[in-house]
Amino acid sequence: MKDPARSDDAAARALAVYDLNRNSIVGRARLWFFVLMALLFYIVSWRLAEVDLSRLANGLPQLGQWLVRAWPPNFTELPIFIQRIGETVAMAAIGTTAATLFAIPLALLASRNLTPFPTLYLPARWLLNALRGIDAFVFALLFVASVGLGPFAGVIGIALHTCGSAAKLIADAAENAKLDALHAIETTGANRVVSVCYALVPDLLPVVLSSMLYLFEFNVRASTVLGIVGAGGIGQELKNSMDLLDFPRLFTIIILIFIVVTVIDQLSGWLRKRLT
Amino acid sequence: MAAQAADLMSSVLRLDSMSKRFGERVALATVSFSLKPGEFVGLLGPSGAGKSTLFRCIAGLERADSGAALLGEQVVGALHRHGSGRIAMVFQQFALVDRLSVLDNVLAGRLGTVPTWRGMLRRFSHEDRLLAMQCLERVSLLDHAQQRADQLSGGQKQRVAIARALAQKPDVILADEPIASLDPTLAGGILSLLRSIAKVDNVAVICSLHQLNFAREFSDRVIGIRAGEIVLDCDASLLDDHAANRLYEH
Repeated sequence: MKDPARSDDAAARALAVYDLNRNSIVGRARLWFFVLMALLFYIVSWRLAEVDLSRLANGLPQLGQWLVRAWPPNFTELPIFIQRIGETVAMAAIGTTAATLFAIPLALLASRNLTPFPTLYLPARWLLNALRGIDAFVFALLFVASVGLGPFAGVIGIALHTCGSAAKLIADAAENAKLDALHAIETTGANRVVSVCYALVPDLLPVVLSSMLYLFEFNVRASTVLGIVGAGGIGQELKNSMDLLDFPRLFTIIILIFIVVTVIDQLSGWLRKRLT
Repeated sequence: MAAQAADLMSSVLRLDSMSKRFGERVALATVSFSLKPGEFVGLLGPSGAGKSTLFRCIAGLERADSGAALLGEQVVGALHRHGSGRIAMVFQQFALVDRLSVLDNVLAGRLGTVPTWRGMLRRFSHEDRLLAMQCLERVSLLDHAQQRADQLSGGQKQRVAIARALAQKPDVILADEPIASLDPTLAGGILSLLRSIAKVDNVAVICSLHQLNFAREFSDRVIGIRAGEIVLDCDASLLDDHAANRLYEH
């Protein structure tokens, strides 16, 4: 195009048609309709959420005062805190591992291309959605009532909720797995089970382990608050300190949670990178 | 000597001992050549010979370790920062923005010359948009201007990419295996389109290829590169099987 003067009618006409279609009245009306709907949605949400910035402005100085009173942190109860954090990490570890073990058969049922019982595909997906939809916190609340106070209720809560997430992650990976290798191995005369072990397990195993680690990280963070409903762990101490307005103690616990969560995130992130 | 000097004067792009390593591996070992306006050059060589690295260094996507590509008297790296867009590139996998319309994809070719706000809001001047339409007309895709790029077939996508390159009003077009993802009929169409652009617009086109018959049919000149070194640089008519064997033999 060294010579733009060679403009001709066809291109100009096509441009006019393009602009006409792009700027049609229907198209504009639709755009404005969506903009208005979105605006309305946010206005209603703002009201329902009772967002009140003046309350935040009034509350912040008090938070600042608490922070000042929280200094210095108080490490005299460190052994108890460490035991409680140990409980929290243990809850997350046992809960996540149990969840992953149960998730593997569920994931097989819930992946369209691998399920041995296609009629159970949708019910399996519904079950996973139900498990994912109910938070570990809510499960823990229920199980504290039935198995009593303590970390065990937290383990069950985490296991049930995580099972849904883990199975969904694995099933999605299985549905996206390339089946060429599986088909190729089936043509060698290997039976279905051997073929899956040979062709899919090497592909899926890193996904299973990686999602297990990811969910473990997530659950360590999530289970710090499970103590608030009586399901053991550091959350219980957190709640006690808040109830007693013991800010140095509260501050210490928050620092410890931060350190442990960071260390575990880094470690698990490093491990996950090595898996892929 | 006089002829050589004249050659130098008439070249549009000159590579002056360009070299590039990746760690220990030498990707380009002092490569020099020049391209004349209107010349269609086929770039041949086995996979991994350094063809893509060469293009990426010329286009400024990769920084050469030493040497330079010169457009006239100007070093290309510096040009690239100023965004003049005088070197256009066409890729094997088309590299279109899938969710934009075909016209908006072609207009991307103007981005080097328009203010940032125009680029960000995709508000181009009427002249630029008319130019883009004319480029689409050149590649026979006027009727598809409104479609989203991902709705096109492979051959059509590559023609959009060529229209985008045309919209840059380039002096040089680098085509990195533009036909490797296309069937032979479509491939011939793309190559004759590139060749006609070289001839009509007086643009230097250098195009990497794996098919010798296409290289012979469409190129004026072929350059063979092997392990980062130029081992062949001759008129396309001189590319016999013997020369080809030497280029590809293990």
